[in-house]
Amino acid sequence: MGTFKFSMKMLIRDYKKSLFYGLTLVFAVAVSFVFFNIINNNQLADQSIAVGGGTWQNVQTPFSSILSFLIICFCCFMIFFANNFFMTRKTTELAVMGMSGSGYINSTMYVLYQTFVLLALATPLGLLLGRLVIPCSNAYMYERLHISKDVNIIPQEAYIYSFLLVAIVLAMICVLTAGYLHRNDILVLLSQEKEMNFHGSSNKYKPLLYVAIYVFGIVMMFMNPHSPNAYIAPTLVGVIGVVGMIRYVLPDVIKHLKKGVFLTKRYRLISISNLSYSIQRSLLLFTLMTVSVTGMMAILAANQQNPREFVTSVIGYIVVVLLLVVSIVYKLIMEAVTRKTLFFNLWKIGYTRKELKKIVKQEVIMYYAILILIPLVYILFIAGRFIYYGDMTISFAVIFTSAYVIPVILSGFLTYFEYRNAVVKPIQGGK
Amino acid sequence: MERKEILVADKITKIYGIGTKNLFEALHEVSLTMYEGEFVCIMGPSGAGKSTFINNLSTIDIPTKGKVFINGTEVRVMSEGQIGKFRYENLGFIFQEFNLLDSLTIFENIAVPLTLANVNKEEITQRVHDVAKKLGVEQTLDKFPNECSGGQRQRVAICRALVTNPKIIIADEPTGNLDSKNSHEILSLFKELNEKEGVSILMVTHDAKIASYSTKLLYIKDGIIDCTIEREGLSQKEYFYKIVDINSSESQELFE
Repeated sequence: MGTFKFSMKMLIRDYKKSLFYGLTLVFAVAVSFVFFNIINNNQLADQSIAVGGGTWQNVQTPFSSILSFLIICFCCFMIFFANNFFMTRKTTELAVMGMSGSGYINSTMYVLYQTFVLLALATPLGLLLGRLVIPCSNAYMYERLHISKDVNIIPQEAYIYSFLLVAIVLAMICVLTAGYLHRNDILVLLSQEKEMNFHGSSNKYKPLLYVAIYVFGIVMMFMNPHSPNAYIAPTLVGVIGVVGMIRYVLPDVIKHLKKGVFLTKRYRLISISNLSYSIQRSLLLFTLMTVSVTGMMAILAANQQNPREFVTSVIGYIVVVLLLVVSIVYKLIMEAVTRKTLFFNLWKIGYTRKELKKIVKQEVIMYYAILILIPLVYILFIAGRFIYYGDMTISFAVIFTSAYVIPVILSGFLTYFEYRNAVVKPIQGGK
Repeated sequence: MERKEILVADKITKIYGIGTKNLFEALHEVSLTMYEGEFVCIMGPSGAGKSTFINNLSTIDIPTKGKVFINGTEVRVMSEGQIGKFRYENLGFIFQEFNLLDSLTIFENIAVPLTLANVNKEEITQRVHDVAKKLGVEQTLDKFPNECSGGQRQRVAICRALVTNPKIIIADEPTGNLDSKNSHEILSLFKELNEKEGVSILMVTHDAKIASYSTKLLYIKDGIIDCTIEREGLSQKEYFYKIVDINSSESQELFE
């Protein structure tokens, strides 16, 4: 009972740490509910067969269902990601519990109680949110498919599968939490929330290799004859290149810049060092963003004439971009909190508050510029090919790109203000 | 020969929690005149106001009342930019927690004050290597702080404090996280800097052995200077016993 009380007390006191996790849960449940509605809505089945009296069983699985399933999987992945991040923000509490004599089971239950409560709140809220969104998505799809049905009707299966999904997610979280606590001892837990661990890269051939892979992905687009599916393999190759470039090329480039021109630049020396760390910590999110945005571009372009697939893809694209952008913003803001000491030390050395704000601004601008540029190169090549072959209009490409770039830029502003408030505002004393 | 005043604290008072119910006076009208080339040590029990005093003297904090003059200029009339410039040009900070920047390599950490002072690349490289060699951390220059030991990190922090050839070193418990061997190596270095290069040192410590390297000791208690000892002609051993006496008399009060 003591563990439960302490768990609830900390959940309320430190609600900011749980906010992102809670919101991700609400959003993921809502999105899954919307897509379960699309998968199970007979009105949205292949109409020629549906009109002829066929059922889902008679119909070959439509692409919209596969896409919906993939997006639901993506939501689950985002829940696990948020859960992992949630865990890393709880490590000090868990270490203190360990030092106070709490056993492995108690510590695991401490986290799970909080997860249960968050899920118990998030599930009805998510379903409610989904319930509000579904009439709009149904109305839009029915209009595009020329169906006149009540947009408020939601198949029962959508509810059942949503609850089932929550149950599966909960079971997975239990396993992940237990595993995490089993792997990490008190000392590791204590250092998790505080340290920025840096390690230099050592292999000098890897950077060249990954640049070559990234470029090869682009070359592959021109090697294959144009078709919507022709861009999947080049994109996947490009993603391998992106991961390698972020992991090996970027630190190498930054290292050389810092030894060269940036050594005498009072702001850049600091901002680019922090940038390198921030990007390494966001590697997974950068990769997901690249895969999702470039992949969705090919899918949307290929399904412009299929309203059901097209609308599903549009909703999916918006959801994926929003979820990733929110995750990136939250991760950066939480990382910023761990840099208070770093910025305070800079101030002690002689940087003014104004200069510190400039360092934050430079880091945030460079971070989001890289986030935009990495997939943008592939987007431009894919869109260029589609436009060249007459399968896409320029306005479509512009709208698609804007739907990615605008949320990223807006989140850049939000990150800057939050980051600045986290590291510069607390500096007290002096002038 | 007349000695030059480098740092003057004139009746400084520091009150925390102004505007709240929890007012706390950490320092009460404390005065100090520090001359060029002095090695001043501040001792006292926990919560006596040692760190508050050193922070107010070194521009990290501003006193509620009273004035601090550095090289004859009052800190309060300086802008934030001027204070910042003053810090990286004249002061070298060394802290118990090392306070290195985790995202920079050891080389870059040492180079930061030079970068701030707009020193050119070649000179930065030269000076960083020189000071790193002097402190024996040359082999760690390409590493990150988390890849170094505690002793190495503190030496790097000292390198950073010395790289601009500061007039004053401000050290708050610089050996607090070090073993005795490293502690005495570092204090020997301080002593050498003070005696041979004329660097003024203002240091806070709990350790009487460490304090015995200084030339003057201030004992702070309950926000005021309780007593001052000058080493003058005493040997380090005699000076050490005097410091121990002061600390012992403080402990004796517990039993009276």
